[in-house]
Amino acid sequence: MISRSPTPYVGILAVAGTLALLPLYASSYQLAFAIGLLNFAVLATAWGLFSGPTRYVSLASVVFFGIGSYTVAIVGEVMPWPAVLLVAALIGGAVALVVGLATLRLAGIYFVIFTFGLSEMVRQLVTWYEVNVTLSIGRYIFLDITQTQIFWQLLALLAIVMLGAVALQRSRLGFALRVIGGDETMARHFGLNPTFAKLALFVASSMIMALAGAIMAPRWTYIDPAIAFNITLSFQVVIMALLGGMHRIYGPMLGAILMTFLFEALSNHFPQAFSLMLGLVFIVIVYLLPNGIVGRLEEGLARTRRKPATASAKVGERT
Amino acid sequence: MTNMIMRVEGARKAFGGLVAVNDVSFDLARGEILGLIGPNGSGKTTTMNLISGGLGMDRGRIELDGEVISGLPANRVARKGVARTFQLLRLIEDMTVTENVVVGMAFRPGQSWNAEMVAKSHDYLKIVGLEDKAGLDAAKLTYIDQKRLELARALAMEPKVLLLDEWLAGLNSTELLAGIEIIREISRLGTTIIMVEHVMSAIHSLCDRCVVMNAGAKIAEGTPGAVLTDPLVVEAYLGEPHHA
Ligand SMILES: Nc1ncnc2c1ncn2[C@@H]1O[C@H](COP(=O)(O)OP(=O)(O)O)[C@@H](O)[C@H]1O
Ligand SMILES: [Mg+2]
Repeated sequence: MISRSPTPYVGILAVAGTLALLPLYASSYQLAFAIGLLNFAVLATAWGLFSGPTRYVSLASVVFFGIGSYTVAIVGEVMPWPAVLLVAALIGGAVALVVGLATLRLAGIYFVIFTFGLSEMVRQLVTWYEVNVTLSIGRYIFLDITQTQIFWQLLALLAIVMLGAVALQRSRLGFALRVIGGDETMARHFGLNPTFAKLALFVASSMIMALAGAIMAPRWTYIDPAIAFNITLSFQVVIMALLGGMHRIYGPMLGAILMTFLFEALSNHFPQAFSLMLGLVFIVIVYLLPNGIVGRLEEGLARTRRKPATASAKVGERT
Repeated sequence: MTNMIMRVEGARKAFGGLVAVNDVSFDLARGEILGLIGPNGSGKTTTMNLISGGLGMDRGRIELDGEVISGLPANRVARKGVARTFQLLRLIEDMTVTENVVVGMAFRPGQSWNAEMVAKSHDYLKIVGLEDKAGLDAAKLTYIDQKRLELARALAMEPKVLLLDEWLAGLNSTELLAGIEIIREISRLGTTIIMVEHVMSAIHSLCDRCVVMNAGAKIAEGTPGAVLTDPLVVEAYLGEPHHA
């Protein structure tokens, strides 16, 4: 709960520092694969940051990711790159604030449906705007940003998100989110404002997703609303996070790694099977891994060494 | 009148056509234990919910230390100094006993987020006799210990007014005696208490005054000895012999 141990921070920085050397050794194919993987790792972790403790299932990941990408398409050539990233994050955060204020008082089931509808609505809106105002459906992105630079940016973003997640878990806000996830009505009676806490996390999580979308945009050279706001991405993110397990910070990332490898292997052999696989993995999660792979591994560990270590460990911290 | 800590004035709450609390008024003196009694369904829990902000009132006002708290959301009322336990326990089962107590502490006004809260939580656990179980998950506790934990969590808010909703219900006779002593100790430490209770022995030994409700209305008010012999009260209870 409350800990000042620097170990997790040092660990995250050390791993990120090591991984940063990868572009020096990887082929361009491997680098492209690593970029895809990092992108999903960022998105799934950001998703778990909000949805893990609050148990709100958001299907809006692609809205914020798409906002990030479109920001680059629109202002990418007229602003310095750091400013572009900042604008993307701010727009993502602002949209999340409005959406959150409108929806976070709703019960979970309405939230899912709302976020699903939102993705569709934003896609239609952008399409309408492009067709009627800019008079062209797609946009080209010509930016002088290499694959290696994209990789480094995503890696830095992932490291920042992980550092932030550890800090959050140790903070009052992180504790508040666990209480809200446990029993929101009760939480109110102890002075906690659930709407504020949920809103804060939803905005932070959405800003990260918008940043990921912005960083990824230069890979495409061409985007249109159907590419940038493809709802499949939202489902992939949910499934990855659930597969990994959300009661640990690194769970969603683990799910992202496994799924990215799985899809890569399968799409080489069965290019048509993508949606089918997504569905199958989802069924496996629901029936076999309700707490994700991390949850399953921990149950296994607990069974092999039945020691009273759990009680004291829990007072300390759950990383 | 500094001796008064809370005033409930004309409180009313209807659920559809059912008036669960009908024009209820009473004052609460600083440091006293007020019993809120009455047959099942008479509106006691609803009254507690109106005070704690868990439900909004249709009419009326509630003041705490001269400040109007009716109309505020539950989280604001809590921060003004009203804590409660729940008739149906609401602990976070996958949190430890200590963590559940920290829930009561962490969101008080002016409270900083630090490891001292863990040490301080021990003091509250001690009052309710749960200090040996600090590291257990709340789910692992027995029913009586879960009730103790609910109380410790409410105490951790250092409330001006503590609302206990049938906190003694479901205890066996030994546990009941221990429970009565715990409430007496909390009162002695300076907390003002409103307790909803059916256990007559507890009402007699703890309460300074009682407010009696029936079908949403206040039908009597006075010392336990006086109200429990009031014919109106006896009749209300006889109408529902289950708890009398
Ligand atoms: N949320 C609610 N919705 C509808 N009716 C309710 C609700 N809460 C309580 N009631 C009704 O209001 C009346 C008073 O209930 P309650 O305050 O729980 O009584 P008590 O605590 O005295 O047993 C009962 O008839 C109960 O059915
Ligand atoms: Mg009741």
